[in-house]
Amino acid sequence: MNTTGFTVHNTIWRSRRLRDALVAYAFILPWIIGFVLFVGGPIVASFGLSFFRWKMIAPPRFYGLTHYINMFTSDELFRISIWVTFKFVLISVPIGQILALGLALLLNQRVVMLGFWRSVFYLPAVVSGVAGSIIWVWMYHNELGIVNNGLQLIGLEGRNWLFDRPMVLGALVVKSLWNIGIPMVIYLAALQGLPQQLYEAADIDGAGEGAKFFAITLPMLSPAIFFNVVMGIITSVQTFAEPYVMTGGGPDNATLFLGLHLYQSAFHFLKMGYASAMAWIMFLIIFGLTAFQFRLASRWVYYEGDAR
Amino acid sequence: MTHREKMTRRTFLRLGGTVAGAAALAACAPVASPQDDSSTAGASAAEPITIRYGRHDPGGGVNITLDAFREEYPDIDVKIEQIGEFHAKIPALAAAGTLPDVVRSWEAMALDLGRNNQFIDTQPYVDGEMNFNPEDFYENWWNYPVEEGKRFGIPDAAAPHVTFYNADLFDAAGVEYPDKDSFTWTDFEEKARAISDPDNQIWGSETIPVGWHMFSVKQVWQNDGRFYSPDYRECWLDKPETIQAIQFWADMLLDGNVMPSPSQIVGIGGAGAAAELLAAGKIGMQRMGSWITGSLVEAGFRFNVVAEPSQARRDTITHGAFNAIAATSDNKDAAWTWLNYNTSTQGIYNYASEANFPGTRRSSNAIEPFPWVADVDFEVDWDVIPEALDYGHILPGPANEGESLKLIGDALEKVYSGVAKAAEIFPDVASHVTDVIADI
Amino acid sequence: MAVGDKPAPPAERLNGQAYARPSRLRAILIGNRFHTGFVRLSVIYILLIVLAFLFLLPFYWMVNTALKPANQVFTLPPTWIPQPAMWSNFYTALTTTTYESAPPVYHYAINTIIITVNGVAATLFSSSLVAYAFARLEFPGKDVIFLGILSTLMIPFAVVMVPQFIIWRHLNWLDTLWPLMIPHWFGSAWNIFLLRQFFMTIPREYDEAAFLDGASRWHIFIRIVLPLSKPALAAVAVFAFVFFWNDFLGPLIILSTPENFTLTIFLANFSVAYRGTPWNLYMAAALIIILPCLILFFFSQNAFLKGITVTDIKG
Repeated sequence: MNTTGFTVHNTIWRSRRLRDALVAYAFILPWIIGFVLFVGGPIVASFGLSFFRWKMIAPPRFYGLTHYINMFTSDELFRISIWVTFKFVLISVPIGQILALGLALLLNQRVVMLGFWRSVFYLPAVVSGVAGSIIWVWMYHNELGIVNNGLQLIGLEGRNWLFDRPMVLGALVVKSLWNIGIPMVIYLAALQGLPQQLYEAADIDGAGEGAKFFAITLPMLSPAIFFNVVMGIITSVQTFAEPYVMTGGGPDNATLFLGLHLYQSAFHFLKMGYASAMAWIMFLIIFGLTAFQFRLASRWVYYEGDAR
Repeated sequence: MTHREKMTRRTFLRLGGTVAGAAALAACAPVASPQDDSSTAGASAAEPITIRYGRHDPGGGVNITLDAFREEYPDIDVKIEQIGEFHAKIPALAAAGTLPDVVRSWEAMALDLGRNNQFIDTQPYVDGEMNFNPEDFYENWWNYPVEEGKRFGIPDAAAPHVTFYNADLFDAAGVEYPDKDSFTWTDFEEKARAISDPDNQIWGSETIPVGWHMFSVKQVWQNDGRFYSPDYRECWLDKPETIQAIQFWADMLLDGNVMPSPSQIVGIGGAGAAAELLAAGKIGMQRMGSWITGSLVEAGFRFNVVAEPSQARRDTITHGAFNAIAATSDNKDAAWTWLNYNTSTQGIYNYASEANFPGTRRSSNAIEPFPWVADVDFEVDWDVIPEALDYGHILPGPANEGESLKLIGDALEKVYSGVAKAAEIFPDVASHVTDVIADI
Repeated sequence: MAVGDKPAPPAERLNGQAYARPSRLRAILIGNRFHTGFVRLSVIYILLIVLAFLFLLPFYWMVNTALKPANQVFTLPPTWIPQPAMWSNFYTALTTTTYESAPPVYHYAINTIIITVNGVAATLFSSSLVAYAFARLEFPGKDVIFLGILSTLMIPFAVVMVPQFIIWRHLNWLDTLWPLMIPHWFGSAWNIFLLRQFFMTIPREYDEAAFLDGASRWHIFIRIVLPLSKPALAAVAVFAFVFFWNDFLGPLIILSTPENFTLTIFLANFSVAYRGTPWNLYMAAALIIILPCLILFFFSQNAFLKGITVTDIKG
């Protein structure tokens, strides 16, 4: 700081700007430190690690591209886990979003006791993944569970859901539908924020319900849909607690999610390097899917004119 | 399509609660009274050393040993820790560097972690004990955890798998008891078929716990095959003896008239219900570790023991564990003091007799009442059990065992569920497993 | 709500008599913009009731089982209302230790509380600090850094899991609570974003006035911006609470000895610990463990909803 008598305005202005910047950096310093230590640094380290074979209990050894090659040639489990994860995301995200949007539309119909209904549908979102999974294991219990007993009451035959190869992933999808509270509330808030003039105008034009939904509601909701789909994909690609607690990846690897395979590789089989390589693939998948959606977004996501 | 229950390793772990676990640990009183903690609260000058002792079963006879130990060594405070999902968790603890001071480790794990310097060489401690007599141990158990002159643990118990049979059920079906001197797979199948009556939920044999590789290993041995080459560098799952053995038992499992098939298990109410059939008197024979004696006594029918059926040769699994000291322990001397105490003649006896299996020390097995003998009012050929220690073997211990078992287990699950034939898939699996175990 | 007090819909006025009758019937059954018709109303409520029933079913099944005496757990068909209700199951689930040196459940609860309290405090403090800079201060690289923060939302925990594990191992902090506490003092992307959006809605005049009076940025942040942001901070706090209370993968990797376990780890291990599964106790334990989050939700619904919707997702 220049405090001599010859200071010109320019320098005062500049030093003030500098000082402001320094203050600002001081404010964001925690994030920068945290990023370097716990995110950025580890990401780089993770990439480096993926070229080593490191069991943690023995010194690391350079492995070159072997992990990446094995992943796509010899590790059948990796292929299975990618496929399982992909199927899960492909089924659970669209159905979940439709259900969340449907619920939000229902709640937006000027229902009485809105707060009550909203709470009911939101509640599962605060239940931990582990506790929720355990509740659902018990729901799906072959003889004693409420699912099979309930089906029996209405004359249907149940299944041993979590041990039935073709059904087990569906059973996990159903469990995931239970947790759509957050997207539902986002949709509801977006719906409530929709400008009524648009509908009035549509009424004047004599538009029907369906036309109004597709011409007004859906486009106006598109930013919320976009946001929810992106977040839904990011979280469901990382699904872990459910298969860990409910199925352990079985039966016959039918629920070996990428996250579970990765965890087992790292902490059961101590293949830290290989797990890092897989983690990078997971990162690339998420990155790819997100980028792809941002690409697509320009075609279908409608932003109001005042968007920055 | 199919409507059946398959047993994954995890299901088996859970099921293990009723089968292996319950029996092995049946005697343990699960709730401990809190009073015994304060016994050392005298005016001892030095802070007691805490020794963490990790095992999968924290109760039972080991607490008797522990109480005696506390009397004798008030300055060493041993804390038992239960390690759930043992197979998975122990390597993770090793990687974290947070293994308990003393670990009761499965066979292969003791070797694998020892090779990787996670367990210390206990031979110097053994040599330092004046009255230590290695010859007291069964040789194959004593020599198992040793590589390149380093010893990675001291064995305690060794539960052999034998065949238990329900004599009442044999009589009811008019089937002759298994012959002590000659009992082959063919005999086993014939008798089981003769007893089986699936409509009334009676079967000649207990089902095969698919997720439990011990069953498959012993069957392969009995057919003169092996999972791995003797130096553990190659997987021999693709050898004809191995393929034949697994397929033979898989066919019997899927048949439905020998033992409950996977689809029948669903019909009778799942794996848990299936596991209770033996105690309900609805199973003719069960090939299992001798720890199930306790639950058979409670079941109330007349039973007897015969060796496992054999094909090419007589063999069986003797399953147990090694007590090892973690390389990360800060108190290795105190750890040894406890380890040595716990694997003494009396220590092994305490544990073995509560759980109904032999110890690995001959001297423990000389104490009466013999640990594997239960108090029943009918004749049982109890000698069959300790005899199995002479011809039986210990589970193989290749490098990266956990991962190789995952691959083998997945393949076994496919064969036992009828999805694939052993001959079709084992060659591929064998080469993968070879890659895994050779990667030291 | 807004029934009679509005003028007649313009459509009807324009179309006049010709359409009046059908549109009235239509209005009664299906409804229009101002009235919800009878048929439509029925459909809405039937759907809501059915869906609410399905969503509440797991809770019912959990509570029902948690209150059952052991022998009723295995009766078929299941008892739909436990008789008698065994309230003691909760006590049993919390106090039974499966073996001599096993820590009692409240021990896990203490660990969880420590992690949660620290997590909430750390998140509030660090995220609001960083958010303030992005909402109010000008500095080179602001936009790039902000984009960087947002893009970390895409990074799966799996990518940083192994290297973090190695760091903690070298610090000898594995099997302690530190790795589950310290990293959260450095801001979390989502909360930074959320708070920044909120701070931007606070009129600048408030802090500019203070700034001209010579107050430091820190002073303004602590004395003016934070007190004005209570709703947003509450939203961040409740979400952080739920997150830390329920965290599983982190503790699973970090913690080794039973004394250091959290409630979620205990719950995941429960069946192993009890060998065989006494489902009534299991459900009782699960219920106790989710209860704090349920209670929190009922008492601070507004904070939850605000937390989700305060962010301008069109931004």
